[in-house]
Amino acid sequence: MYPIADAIMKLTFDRGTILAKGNIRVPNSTWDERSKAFRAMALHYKDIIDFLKISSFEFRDHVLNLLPCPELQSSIKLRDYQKQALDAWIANDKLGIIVLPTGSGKTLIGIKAISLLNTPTLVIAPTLDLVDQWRSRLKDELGIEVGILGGGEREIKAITVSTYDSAYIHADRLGNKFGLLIFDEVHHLPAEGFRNIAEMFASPFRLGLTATFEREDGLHTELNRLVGGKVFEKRVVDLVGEHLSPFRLEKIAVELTTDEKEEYDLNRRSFSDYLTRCNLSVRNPADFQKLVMRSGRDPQARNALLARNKAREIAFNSISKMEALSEILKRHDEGRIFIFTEHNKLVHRISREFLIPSITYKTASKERSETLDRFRSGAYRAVVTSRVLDEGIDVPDADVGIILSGTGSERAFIQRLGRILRKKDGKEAVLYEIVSAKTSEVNTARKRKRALSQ
Amino acid sequence: MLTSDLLVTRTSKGRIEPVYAHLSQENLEIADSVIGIFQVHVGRTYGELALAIDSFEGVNYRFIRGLAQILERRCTIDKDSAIDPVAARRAVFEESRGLVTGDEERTAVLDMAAKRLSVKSDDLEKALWADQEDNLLVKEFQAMTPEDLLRQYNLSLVQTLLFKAAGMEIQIEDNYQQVFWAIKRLGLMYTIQDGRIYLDGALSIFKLTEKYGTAMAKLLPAIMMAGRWSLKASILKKTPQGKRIYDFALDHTEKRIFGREFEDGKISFDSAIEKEFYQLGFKGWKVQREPAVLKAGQYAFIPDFSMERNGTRIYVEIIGFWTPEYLRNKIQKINQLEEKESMVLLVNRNLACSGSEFETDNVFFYDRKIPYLEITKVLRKYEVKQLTDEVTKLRDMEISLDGSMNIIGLDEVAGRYGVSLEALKEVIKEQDNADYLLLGDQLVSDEVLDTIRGELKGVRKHDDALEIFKRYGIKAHTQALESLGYRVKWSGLDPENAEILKIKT
Repeated sequence: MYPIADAIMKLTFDRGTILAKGNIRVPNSTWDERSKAFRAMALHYKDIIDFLKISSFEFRDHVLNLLPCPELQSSIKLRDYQKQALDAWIANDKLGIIVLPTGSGKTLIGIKAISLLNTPTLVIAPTLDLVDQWRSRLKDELGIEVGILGGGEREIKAITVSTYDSAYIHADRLGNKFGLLIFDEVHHLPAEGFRNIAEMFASPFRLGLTATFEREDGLHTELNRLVGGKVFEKRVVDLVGEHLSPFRLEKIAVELTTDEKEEYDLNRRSFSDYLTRCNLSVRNPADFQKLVMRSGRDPQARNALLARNKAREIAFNSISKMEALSEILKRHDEGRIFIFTEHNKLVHRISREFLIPSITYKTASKERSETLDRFRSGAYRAVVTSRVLDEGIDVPDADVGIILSGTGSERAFIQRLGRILRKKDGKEAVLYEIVSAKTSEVNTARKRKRALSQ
Repeated sequence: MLTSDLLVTRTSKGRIEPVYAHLSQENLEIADSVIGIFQVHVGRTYGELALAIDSFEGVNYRFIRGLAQILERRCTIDKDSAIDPVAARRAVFEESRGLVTGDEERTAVLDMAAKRLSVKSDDLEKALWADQEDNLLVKEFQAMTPEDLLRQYNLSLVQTLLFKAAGMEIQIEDNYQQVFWAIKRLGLMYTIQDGRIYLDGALSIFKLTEKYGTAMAKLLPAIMMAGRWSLKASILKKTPQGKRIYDFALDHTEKRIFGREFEDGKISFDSAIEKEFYQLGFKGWKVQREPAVLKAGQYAFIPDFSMERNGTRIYVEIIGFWTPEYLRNKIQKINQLEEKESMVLLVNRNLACSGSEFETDNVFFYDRKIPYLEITKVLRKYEVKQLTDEVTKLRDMEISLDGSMNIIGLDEVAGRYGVSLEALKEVIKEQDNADYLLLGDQLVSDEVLDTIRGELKGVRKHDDALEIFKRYGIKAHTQALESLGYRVKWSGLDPENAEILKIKT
């Protein structure tokens, strides 16, 4: 009908993708018979525009439809390594990932990036606590109202903070509204579902932040494509002393009680017998995953797994640990203490026995932030928590960490260490690890500490 | 729907199928037992219930847990404590400063806090953890039959399987409207070929993705509400060898093993303003929500509402969304509609657009409320136009009335000619029929009127007069009395005292 109009490429945003109408096949696009047009993931927006510009094709670009944005200014002064990190990111076309230890002020770098680019930004964080923390920091530093997506709230503003889950669900509608994406704890992004967020947003500028870049499943290689590569990295050892509190690590081995020992051995044997019988071995997470799948159809495999879990539970939750814990608590009668466990059950037990405020993933956010506020103010001297606080929440005043049980994950270990390492004058942090001797837990604890020796 | 860890499937030769719980004696007994466990745990803690289910699991644990998951949704589970646990904790932790290290100190702290709250120490300690899952109380349980439980379980299995669908092809023989508005609402894309509807999403051409699986699972109830239907889905499944695609097929012949997790005929609205519109009511017009699929170029367009009156149909679209490109799309689509002349658009005033962008006159802006008066004016315009059209049509026709009848109901005649009563009456008035008199919506023969005139002689009470009209089936009695030369004299408020009087001529 309109031959001339056809010659001009027209780019629009459609549910997380870019529709290109016209005669030119743009890079990374595929012909979509459903719409009679070329289609590409929104992720490739910048490449497509660059290509069309370089080739001097005429085109109309209706993809981005940025939210109206107030003038964004901040008076943040960055520390030298923070500034270096930001410069490295800017030099990489404002794409890529900054790796810094917990407690080193990643949030500040993010806010500075927002004010420099002065563009509507979506910040994506893994937990509601972190979403809340970003919101209040952004509000304070930039002096603007901040939108929230997630946890039942759905208010979109020029600067919005979202959970990964909500960003995933709403990507098809919001993908063209923000110039900058900031992924906090970016190591979550390569997960199969979440990577859609990066793919469905057209935002040309992307910043990833994390303390733990590598994933055990190797999927961090995906981040190159989704956010851009690693542009800057500093480790705990690089910053300890000058920027983070010095710390020492103390390991306490406890013996299982006789009853516990007996039951532990029984269950452990039942598990290893099964492996021998079936000629199986469990050397890495993938092996274990196979075993879990097998247990779906094989009742014996399921019983073996249940026995293994029971043995772990005994080792993790030994009564002797409670005694050791009691000793440490007495030793630090002025300390500010954070206790970590693997299971909620143990959290409840400790909370009950020592009347220590607890936070689990079931704790309502109001009580959770009240508890953390009171910990910060000194009204509460201790908090016990399961994995829920592994990431990101600031508890700068903690100087004693106690790990009662945990997995072999290096990441969780580093994150937990980070909780107590935030710099404060004259502070020396202690991290205790209470491990049941002569159980598989010894091995588990050794695995997670590899992170320090690297 | 179930959590994905409870999905049980069977695969063979590239096909996948949930392991359905057929309504066998054995399964019915299991279902009955699980229901029984729930029933006896009303009034006990959730922890006890969970333990009882755990010990019942045996080898078939995924089946049992699946049933339990469905039944749990039918329970009211709440904390059992007079003291608010959060307040209890706050009081205790304030007293402990967040930590005690000995039993004595512990008791002392609890006593102090209890004193402050004026409660007993034991009650306080119990309240401290009353909101923990294990301590919650199962307050109510809405039982169901074992058959219904198994059916619902089977439906849940299919929906849970569809979470992992990369694409789905469906065929339905009716219920198109509901299916299409669900497709629209769920953000799926479709292509139609030879009556088969192929569904996936915008990203699907780049990769196999489960992103749209949830939407397809949500579509299932609408599909199943069709009389005859079939579906084929490509399911992504993790295997030790990596992800594989399996085919899943289902059709209406297996309908009896499925229950309904949904309620029929429940209308859902996208916004409060749409709901308001639906509830307003426009006299004589029948309002229907998302009534049809219209063609807008290559796209399907499903308007929010239709309004119907005597065969005249107009469509209403409410535009309250906030993104400019959405609006641009909408304007483009509406301008391509064949039915655009009969579209009424209600546009949120805060949207950055002017009415002139739409190629139709019926554009109204609203702030918070539906512009009811303006809409009735538009409707009036259609009513008048319809009336004129029909009157013109009727004038050209010979209206055949059944002359053997003493009383002719005009609504029936209007129905026969497919016109409104109003138009028919208009034309009948013009025709001035010698043998009949138009009374209300009826034509009454002179013969009957004469008889009635005779019968009315000597009648005083209004009620008695009504009785006569009733006997002959005349509805517009006031008008009839008047035409026979009477008027009604009311005394007081009681209609029984009313009388009729002959007006002197």
